[in-house]
Amino acid sequence: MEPPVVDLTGLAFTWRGAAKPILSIARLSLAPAERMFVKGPSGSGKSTLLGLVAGVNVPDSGSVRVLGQSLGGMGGSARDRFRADHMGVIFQQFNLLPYLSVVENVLLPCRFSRRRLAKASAQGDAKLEAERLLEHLDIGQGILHQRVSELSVGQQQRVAAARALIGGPELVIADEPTSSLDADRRRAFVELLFRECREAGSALMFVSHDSTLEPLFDRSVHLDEINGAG
Amino acid sequence: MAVLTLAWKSLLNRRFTALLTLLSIALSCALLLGVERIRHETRQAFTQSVSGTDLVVGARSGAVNLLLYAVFHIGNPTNNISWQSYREIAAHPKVDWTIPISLGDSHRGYRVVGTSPDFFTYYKYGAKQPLDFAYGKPFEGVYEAVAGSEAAASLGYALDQEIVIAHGAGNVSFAEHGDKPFRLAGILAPTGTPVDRSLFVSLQGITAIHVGWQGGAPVPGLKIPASAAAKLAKEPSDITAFFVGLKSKLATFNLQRHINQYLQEPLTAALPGVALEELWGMMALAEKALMAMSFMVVLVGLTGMLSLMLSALNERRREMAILRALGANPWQILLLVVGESLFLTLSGILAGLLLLYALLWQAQPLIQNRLGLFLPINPPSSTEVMLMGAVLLAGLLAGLVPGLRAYFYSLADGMNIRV
Ligand SMILES: Nc1ncnc2c1ncn2[C@@H]1O[C@H](COP(=O)(O)OP(=O)(O)O)[C@@H](O)[C@H]1O
Ligand SMILES: [Mg+2]
Repeated sequence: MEPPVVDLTGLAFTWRGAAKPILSIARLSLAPAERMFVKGPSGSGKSTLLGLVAGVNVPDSGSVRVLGQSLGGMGGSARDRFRADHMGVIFQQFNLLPYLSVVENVLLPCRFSRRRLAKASAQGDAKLEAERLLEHLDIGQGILHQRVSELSVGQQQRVAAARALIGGPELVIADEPTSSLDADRRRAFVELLFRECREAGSALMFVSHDSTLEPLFDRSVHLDEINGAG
Repeated sequence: MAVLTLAWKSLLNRRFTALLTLLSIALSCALLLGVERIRHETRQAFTQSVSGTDLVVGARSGAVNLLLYAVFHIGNPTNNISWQSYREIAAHPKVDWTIPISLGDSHRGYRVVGTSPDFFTYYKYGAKQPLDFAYGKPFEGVYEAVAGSEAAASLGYALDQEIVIAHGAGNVSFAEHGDKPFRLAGILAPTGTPVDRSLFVSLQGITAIHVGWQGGAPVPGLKIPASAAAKLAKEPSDITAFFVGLKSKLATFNLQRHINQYLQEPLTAALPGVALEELWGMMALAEKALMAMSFMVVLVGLTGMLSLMLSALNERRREMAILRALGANPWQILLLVVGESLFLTLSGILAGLLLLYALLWQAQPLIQNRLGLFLPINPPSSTEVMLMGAVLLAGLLAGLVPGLRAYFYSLADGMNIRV
């Protein structure tokens, strides 16, 4: 059987300078291609949790396993490479580098990961794959060469989704990607994201404080319920 | 390498401020390199002007002063020396050749040097090269002259040009020897030394034009025709200085002592190399001050870059978090920032170098005209390359300040920015 995409056990994390741990999670796992909704109020440690899964932060104790591999067992730059190879990240807003074109932004992960580049170029050219993804996410040809600062917030988030998905990473991490969208756009965005995750075979870990989207997901976790700290 | 292209694109995106920073680095580099170039070329020019001469002899004064007026025509002689002393020393058995020179007259701002035809045989410049004639030949008659290449070129003179010599140096002359014109018999090839900016006539010529003069002015009412004056002028009573070539270098110090202790008249014999060293010693302080100032200006340029980068850093924290999320490690973040300073400094240095050459190319004739310094357009010297390396290193160090900050931000922030 395939190992879970994410498997956290006995995890505890304290921010440097903080008096007590912000997170203490006995167990949390995410199956391949599963779509999980993580809910919690602002400041509850959702972003911190994603940082731990991504291997940007390192827990005080416990283990973070991604795709069966223990992040704690890797050195810092090995973790960074692992993240580049296997994960795509979408932030709440300002996801894009202003000095790159739309397509260059989407292709960014391929600069940091050969594996993602190879997978993106499997059908020929990585650039074509980027354009294909963008088209699937409703970004038309006309916008491809526009400056990213000229895009609407919704367009920017969809470009960010394309960037997270290029080269088919096993795990997509989304940190409140819909919070800056209008309420009626959120559902459409999530559905597009689901469709592309399914096509790429990626599992999705989606955090938000907004529970209206919760029913769309395979599973929903309330951070307050699993977090022993706080 | 991926991050270096990003650094480049990010800079392009801020091209206006980046260009200003680059410009200030370029200007400061051009200044630094220019100062070094002029320092080097002045020394070169001085050294090149006296390559075959063992001793320079004149009235008693400092060696530097003697060298300056006798060879470089800077300043004025303290005193003349008698023709008799000159003849006696020239006849010394260790002496191979001598070149007497008599200064004090000019022609339209160019020095007129009275000398003997031996000047064209024995004077050496640069790598012991003899003088070459571009046109014509050495003077023979009393009223014949030879012009240095630059003097002839800028006055627009060809052979047989008539020349009127004025008493005194400089453009504003007190009195002209208008009744005794000279004819241009030869024009020298360029040498890159003060020779280019001088005119040469025989000692008899100098004597002839001063026949009937007393105390630096013509005696009123007395008019002596040129042909008569030429007959009257036999030997000068005194000269300004003379150059000495020895049969053997071993005799140099011996003869120098002999001349310095000459009983009939107080004389100074200077070794050109030693006198030049003394001159460099005198100029060292000014040179160092000038260099230090240029370095300061470079530091100002780099500080501008530093403040630009530091103020951009806060806005760029999000960009760094994005790159971290994409799998960039903190070292790549450091490289992203330092790469920017590298691009700026490197292109600033190259632009500065280009600017320097453009300026050299533009100002070369002007500097030669005004200062008599010929600045050849050579590739950068090893010292200049070292200076550029030092600037690059300083730029790199300056870039490390925001670079290390970005590095620690990216470690501390993780994927989320706290604003
Ligand atoms: N880089 C950091 N350094 C120190 N403390 C942080 C950092 N990021 C977040 N925190 C703290 O951790 C707590 C949880 O933050 P966060 O994970 O961003 O919550 P959420 O994403 O659920 O809103 C907050 O109290 C915040 O102050
Ligand atoms: Mg958050």
